[in-house]
Amino acid sequence: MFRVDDDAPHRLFGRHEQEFKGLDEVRVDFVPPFDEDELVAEEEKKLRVRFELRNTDPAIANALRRIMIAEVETVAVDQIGMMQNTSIIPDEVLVHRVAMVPLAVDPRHVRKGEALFFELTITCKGKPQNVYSRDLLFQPDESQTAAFPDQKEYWSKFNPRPVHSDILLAKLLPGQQIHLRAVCTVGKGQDHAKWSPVATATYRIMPKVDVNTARANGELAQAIKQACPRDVFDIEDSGALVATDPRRCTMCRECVRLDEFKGCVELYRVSDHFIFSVESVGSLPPLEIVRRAILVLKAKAVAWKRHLHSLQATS
Amino acid sequence: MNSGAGAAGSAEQQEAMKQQVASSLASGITYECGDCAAKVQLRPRDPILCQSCGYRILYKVRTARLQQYEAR
Repeated sequence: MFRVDDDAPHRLFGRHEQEFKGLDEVRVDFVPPFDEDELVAEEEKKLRVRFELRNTDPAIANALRRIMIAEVETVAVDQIGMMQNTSIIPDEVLVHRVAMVPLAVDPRHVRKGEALFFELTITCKGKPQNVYSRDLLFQPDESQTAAFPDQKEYWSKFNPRPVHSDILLAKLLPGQQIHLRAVCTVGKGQDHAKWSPVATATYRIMPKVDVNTARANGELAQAIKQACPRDVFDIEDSGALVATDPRRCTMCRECVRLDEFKGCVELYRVSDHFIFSVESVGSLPPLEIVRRAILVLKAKAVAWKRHLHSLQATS
Repeated sequence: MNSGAGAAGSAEQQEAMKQQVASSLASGITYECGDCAAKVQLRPRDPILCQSCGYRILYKVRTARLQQYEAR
């Protein structure tokens, strides 16, 4: 636990004196959603998860975050064969737009080396027309049915489609047409952000708010409670200040800023306690992303250990 | 970005392409009118003029050949 000095809000990480703690001791807790989450639509809540990681080193927390962003696999459009495009939007731009569309396909259902094909065939007749992501239609590939005879049946179970049906891809005037074939492959965010399964994967360190009840009571307690924009504090019956919900604290330091507040509240961070927030793009459930990230991290650790052992054996 | 269409290819393909060019010269190359969007067939030395509306700006039609792109 590190003290945050009054005059140095940027000094959040002091010298690390703890021993490194391995993954075995890590505890994962799921926290109830915060108040602000009540403003979020039900639909979006399904795409979010918050959890707390305890008893571990920042290295592990950060590795987990980075793996979620860059190393959990998803399926995205990789190559596009453009048969016809007479719209005003140039090939390159259209291709880029199509590639960004998140696809609701679990990469684990894709067999190794297999590619998925989507086709977009639209000719505008009559009135000007919009092209949306819903016009991308999954096409079981004929040339692949030889290798995988059950292809059609297999994929009809999973119904590959764009996550969102209403992403605007292009606009067409009468007579214009677009005909393209998109080749989708399994990839990682490392190669391109379109393969990243998360919109955001972040963590923050658990705040710890200590109240000196001998000083912080009465009117001063009221003033501090008022000063906090995050509603961290409450007043006990005795008139003393209590930090009821330190998790809400954003370290804005309003409660220690004024001179008269001196000595009432101390702000710390619990350096081995991380509050994660993961928001999925929609191709995988957010918890599944976390689970797979942990598996990737584990695989890396195992590979590294094996490597170390092999070095030991040769020397 | 653009990895481009397939290059020249084999001698057979080149031969086929030559024939294609010869036949299209005979029947005329298709252009599109800049005003009424009608298809216009033009042979060498034809006046550059839309046969249906008389507009003098014609556009080339996009290839029907497949263009491959890396979608990044």
